[in-house]
Amino acid sequence: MPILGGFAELESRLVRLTGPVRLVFFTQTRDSATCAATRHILDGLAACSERITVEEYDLLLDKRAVDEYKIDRVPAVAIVGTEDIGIRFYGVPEGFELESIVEGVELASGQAHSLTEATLVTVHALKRDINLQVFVTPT
Amino acid sequence: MTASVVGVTEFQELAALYRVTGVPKVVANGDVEILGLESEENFVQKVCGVFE
Repeated sequence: MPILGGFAELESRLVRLTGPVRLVFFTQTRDSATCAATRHILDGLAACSERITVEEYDLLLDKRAVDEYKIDRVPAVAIVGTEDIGIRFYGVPEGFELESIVEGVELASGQAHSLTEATLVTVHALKRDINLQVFVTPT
Repeated sequence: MTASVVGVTEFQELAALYRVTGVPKVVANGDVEILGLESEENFVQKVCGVFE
């Protein structure tokens, strides 16, 4: 598991996953550098747990998958467990963002979240969809 | 509710569109903007309060 070398804590968390997770990866040959780097990292994550699988689609060629997961730019990863709960990662999940994608994998696999009851009540009462975009840097 | 992590390095035009001057910055429905770390209570109030 060379990709996560130095991140032993993350590796041990992935080993403990309880449910299957698909890393549905979207790429495009024109943007090969960042897409290749992302695929390399996803393969490293998958090497940590037999519950993680990687699927690859092309943004231009695989319209059905692009529409299904509502992807509009690459590199992109839809983190999907037994159901798609709407977690996406756009960009290369490197540096500190390894932590972000591992947390997404844990949630998708069915691991309990840490939200308060008050938060759940508020979110469940929403009458319209909300899409959160969280802008990050790897350092 | 859906959530996307967006790398500023790879998507600079999108970051510029939402005036990302620091991270983390959260943009809800392209409208509500939250810069920096908030407590869970404040975050939920700011995001959900607008869209209730």
